[in-house]
Amino acid sequence: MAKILVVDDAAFLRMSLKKILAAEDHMIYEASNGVEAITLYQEIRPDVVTMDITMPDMDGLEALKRLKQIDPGAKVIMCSAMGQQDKVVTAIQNGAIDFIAKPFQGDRVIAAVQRALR
Amino acid sequence: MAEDFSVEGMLDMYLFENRQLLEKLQETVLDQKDADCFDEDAINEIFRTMHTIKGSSGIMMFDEITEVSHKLEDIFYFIRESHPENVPHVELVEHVLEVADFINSEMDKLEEGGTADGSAKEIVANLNTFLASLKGENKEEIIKENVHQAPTQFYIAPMATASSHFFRIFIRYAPDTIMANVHAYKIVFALKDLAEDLLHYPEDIISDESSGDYILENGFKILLQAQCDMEKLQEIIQEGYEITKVEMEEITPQIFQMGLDAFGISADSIIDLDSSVEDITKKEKDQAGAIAPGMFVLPPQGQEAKPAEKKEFAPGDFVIESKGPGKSKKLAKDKATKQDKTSYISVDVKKMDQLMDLIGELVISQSVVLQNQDLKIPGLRLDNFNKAAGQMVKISTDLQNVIMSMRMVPLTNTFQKMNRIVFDVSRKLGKDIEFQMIGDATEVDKNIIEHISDPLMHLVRNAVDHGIETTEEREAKGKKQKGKVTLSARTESGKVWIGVTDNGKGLDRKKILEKAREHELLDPTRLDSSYSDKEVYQLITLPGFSTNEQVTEYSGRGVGMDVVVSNLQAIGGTLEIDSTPGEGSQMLLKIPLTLAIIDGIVMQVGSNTFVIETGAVKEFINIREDSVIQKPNKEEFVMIRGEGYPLLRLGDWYGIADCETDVQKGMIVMVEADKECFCLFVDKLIGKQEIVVKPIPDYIKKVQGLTGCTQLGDGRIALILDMAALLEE
Repeated sequence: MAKILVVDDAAFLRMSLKKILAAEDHMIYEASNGVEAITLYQEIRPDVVTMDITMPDMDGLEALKRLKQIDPGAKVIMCSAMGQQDKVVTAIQNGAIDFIAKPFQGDRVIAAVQRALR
Repeated sequence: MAEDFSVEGMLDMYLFENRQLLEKLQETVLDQKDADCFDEDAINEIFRTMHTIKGSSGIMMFDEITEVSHKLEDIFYFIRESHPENVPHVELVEHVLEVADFINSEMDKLEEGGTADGSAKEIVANLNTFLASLKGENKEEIIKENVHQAPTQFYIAPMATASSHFFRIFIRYAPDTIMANVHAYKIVFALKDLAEDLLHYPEDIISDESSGDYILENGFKILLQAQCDMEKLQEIIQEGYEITKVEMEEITPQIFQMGLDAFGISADSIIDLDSSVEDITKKEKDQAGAIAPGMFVLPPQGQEAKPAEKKEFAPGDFVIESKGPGKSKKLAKDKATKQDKTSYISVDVKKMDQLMDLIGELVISQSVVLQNQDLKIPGLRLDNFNKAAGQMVKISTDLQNVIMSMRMVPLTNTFQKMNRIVFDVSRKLGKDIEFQMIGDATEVDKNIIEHISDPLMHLVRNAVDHGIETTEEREAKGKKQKGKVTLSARTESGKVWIGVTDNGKGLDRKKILEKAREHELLDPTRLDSSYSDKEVYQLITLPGFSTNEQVTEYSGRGVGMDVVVSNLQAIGGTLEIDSTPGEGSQMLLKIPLTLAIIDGIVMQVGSNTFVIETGAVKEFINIREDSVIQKPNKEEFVMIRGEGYPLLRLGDWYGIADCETDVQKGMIVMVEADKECFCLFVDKLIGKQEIVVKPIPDYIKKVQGLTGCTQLGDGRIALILDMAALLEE
């Protein structure tokens, strides 16, 4: 069982990720924007973070950068939609270990998290 | 989507969240509809909203919604990134609203248990045309759109040492992998720390989105020079969900030097000099049959990756050139947004109603306890009881207030809807109309909001359609001001006053009277001039009345006003009409703040108890018998301070036996309804208390003048009087 922090401004998407991941017996924490994610990260030190790219207040790329400053070993999986290639690439350059594409495919998400946990 | 991934329970969340997003979006859009263009925040918000809806609709597999939101997102992406000039703003507003409407209507269907089966083809086509025209006008910007200026390159000058190893790697991805090129990039990026030299094909995997498709079809090829062993590489590149196949071979420096041509040659064909020709051919064939490398043909434009070129970089240089136009731009900034940070939970309205009912019961049983007959035994010492009772009353009053406030909803959303109607109707009619909202934060009980939405919509449409003149008419009349519709709300003496005001032509008294005569709505014995303006204006609320000859799409044929009034009456509201010819009209709705608990005066008539809302009572008076004047038609009047008020004896009116008939022994209650005063005669006053209004049960025939009933502390039922209805009698 791992601690996973799900960051997305849309409650619906958090819910769908939670459904997928909870089935794998992970502990899920939620944050609805970058600022919240960073606060929560420091508090719970999750094993993996899934990070949406497009969010109000602080977007996923900025949050990723700050997370990496706080904890260079942070394992962040970006959640992206079609057409956000450049952002995903930037994220990978900034230290994201993987990305999952929306609409989420349950098995892929699980695989990505598992890989990140190894 | 995996089979075990159920969408159960997610629809509610989907609908709830996206509705809120759309509401917010509409508010923003309408807020800025009169501006020249959207500001940066609005563009970002619309972009994000569409992005979110696209994402969640994708998961729910509502393809049309996904598609339409995707298209709009594209448009706003373009606007955000390329800052095109001369965007037809109003057109854009219409497109956004159209999309919002479409999604809303699809969600309506879903909410009612249907399927989202509407077709968005037309909207998508419109959006495409719109986007194309935006791009057309901004040709010089088009290159920027979602395309990088230069491909990312990873060139590491060969710095071969004795410990260097050379690898040839071929990766195949699952055919449904999304953004395979970025997955490929992920590997390239992970390898860069190890790599002394790295080549890959397709080369441009960042800016060229079609490379993803190419990779899916033909696989991804990497040539790597590094000091690590195969195991290390296997750790980085693993078969998994995206990667269905990895082929990794150590090759000789010679093959490596061939660049991507190295994929055309069997690794063994050079090294394995001892093998027979047959063996080599066979091996080559096997490989060709099994994997793509053997069949790989370089497309003509893919020639750049020659080892010679790599010399341009200094040894050990690691060059990353990547420029995403979106990257440098600010996304939603850290500055405070309008968004409300209060956290909310959503509660089933039924539960709220139930809670309200329970509080009602609590208030009733509280009065049952506090006014219990047992307490009335003489000689009881009740000091402590009274103290405790006082505390309980205080708490239950607080509790009531909190629950009432929970049910209170600001009128903002309802008003926003009207804003939209003004926008739509005025555009269609070609009228230039300004819309103003005053006091939209006024809070009203949720039940009431539901009831006033339709009447308001009708009044607003009327104002735009019939009230405001066309631009030509206004010019002809010399009206300088723009047409304007104002929606205002305020609370006063326990009521909400909602006004719909326009600065249009006003109501035409003559026309209304003519029409009323025509429809035989007037008393034939009365002269036109004997009707006051107010009476005349009230005529338009009679069933079947319409002064407008032309039936328009928006205001119907005059079936509306009487429906408006009856809707209002259902919630105890009234409509007042005021108008100045040539300057405009005002419709004023007066609605009780809440329906559930009122402050009432309890009185007794015979063995019956009645309740009057405290707000309606002007004064209580004891009079002498000679103050009552009887007209020949038996109508009675009370003279108070020189003025005569109609008198209604409640006991006679409801045929109650053993009621007081002597006006000197009973009590006169002066009440006000619709700005007119009249007097009620009752036996005696009992007191003032909080009254939980309950509807009169269906099995009791409709009795004139009652709005509901309640249970009193001693268990008796009291009837709540409706002043407006009594006045009519």
